[in-house]
Amino acid sequence: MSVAMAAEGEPNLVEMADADLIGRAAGGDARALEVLYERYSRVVYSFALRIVADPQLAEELLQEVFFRAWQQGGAYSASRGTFVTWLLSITHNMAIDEVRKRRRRPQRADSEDPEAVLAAVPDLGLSVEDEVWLGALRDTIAGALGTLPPNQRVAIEMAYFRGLTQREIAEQLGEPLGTIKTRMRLGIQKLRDQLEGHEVGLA
Amino acid sequence: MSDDNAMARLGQRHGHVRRKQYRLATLASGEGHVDDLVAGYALGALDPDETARLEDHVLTCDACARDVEESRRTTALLALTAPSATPPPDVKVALFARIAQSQAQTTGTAPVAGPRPALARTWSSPAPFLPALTTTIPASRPMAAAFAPAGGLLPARPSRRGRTISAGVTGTLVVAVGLLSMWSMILRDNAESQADQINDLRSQLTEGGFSSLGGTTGGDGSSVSPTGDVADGLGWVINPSGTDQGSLLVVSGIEDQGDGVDYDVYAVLRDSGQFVPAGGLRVDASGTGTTTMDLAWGRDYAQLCVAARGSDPADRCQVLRSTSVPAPAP
Repeated sequence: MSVAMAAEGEPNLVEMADADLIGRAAGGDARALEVLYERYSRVVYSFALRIVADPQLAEELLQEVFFRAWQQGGAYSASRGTFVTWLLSITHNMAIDEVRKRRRRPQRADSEDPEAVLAAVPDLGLSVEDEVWLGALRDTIAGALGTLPPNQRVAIEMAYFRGLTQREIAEQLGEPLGTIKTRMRLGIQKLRDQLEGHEVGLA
Repeated sequence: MSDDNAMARLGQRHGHVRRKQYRLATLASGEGHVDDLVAGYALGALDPDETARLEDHVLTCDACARDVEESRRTTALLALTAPSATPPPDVKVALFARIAQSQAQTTGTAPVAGPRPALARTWSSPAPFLPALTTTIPASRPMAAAFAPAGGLLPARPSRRGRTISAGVTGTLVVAVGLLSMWSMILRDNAESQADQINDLRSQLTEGGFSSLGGTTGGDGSSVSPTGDVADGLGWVINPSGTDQGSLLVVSGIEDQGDGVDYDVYAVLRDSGQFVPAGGLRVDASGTGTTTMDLAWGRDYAQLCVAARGSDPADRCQVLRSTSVPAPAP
């Protein structure tokens, strides 16, 4: 399958904004979803993989996230953020649910090292489109994260990428719960200030 | 955020709390306590009771809702710091095959490129509830998969072995096979008598290894009741009389969403995507719950899903299965 090209008399979906595409997808146009998939499947997959550290599970999540977007696209509201923010929020919820479920189950002694798994997954390179927005934005975000005090950054990353609650983080770090909450609050506030005006998305 | 803005929000919230006498006990510790929750919420790091408290609050507090949205936009940016990785092409093939199948299931037509037509009620069955049953239990799928929640992590996808076929060919084949099986199912469904379909359903459930199926088939064949200990699946008790409510829904295989045991069932309107509350259910340790659906029939629902109470169904709803609620009997 390839991304739908504009036929004579039809709108060029490839040029269309995300919000319009998801609107069309919600109306039953699978080609519109295909364009969105081409734009964001790598971002969703990379993010899911970062959280679950399991390529096969990340692939299943990728399919599930876009299938939900297909089914629930009508629930997306542009006033609440870009389409990708919405998509990544779904991805986060689903991936964290998986991580938490897995944590409740006994771990196999031969479980693979997450870092090794991540390093082993191929990156086939960025498309030109990716390079335009993703590369620059990623640098900006990394720069903003780099300005946080390490303890704020650690608390945020433990929650966001490992699915730990504030309470669990406090226990793991041996810090008072209130301290962890404060670190998160200050860290997110600082990121908000620095990243104001930035949002994920092509269009 | 400036101090002025903070003060404005503070005043708004205090006013709001006084007006609504809303959760005075939990807010008594001050506005800073609510602010504490926003970052943790955006990161998904709150305990269930805190999550519920914040979500209750933002329902009636626009300033806090904006605060949450802005924080979530920021956390979404963090997702981009994940190392880049490229998904294999067969994920896309499987996804769009699944979409084609769901379209065919829902409309009884081939996948369309343009806007989806309104639900084609071409299922001229003696009893209007039967299509919902037959379309939600595709005979072409193994029972374990058919009864797994569609929102779970058991999506239909080609096996690893199948991935050696080139993606384009695989996609075409999968879609074609999916459509053929759907069409054959539709033709078969329309040809079968109502009683046969009910018997089929019951035997499929039994053959699928599900135990303790209860319920009865009414004298006029108008009731199907696969209730009881239906493992890892979705059971229905359909009230086919066309009244507006009272369909008992037994759901199992519900994922633990980490927010307690109280969940809500939502039906999603196809045209608007709106989540219509269809009843609450309490989920037991095995992920099973029962509810009496309070849902207007004759609307075009795309699916049913389940979300932890207090959570945003747009974000959290676990899709049970693509299904259609049929029109009421004339």
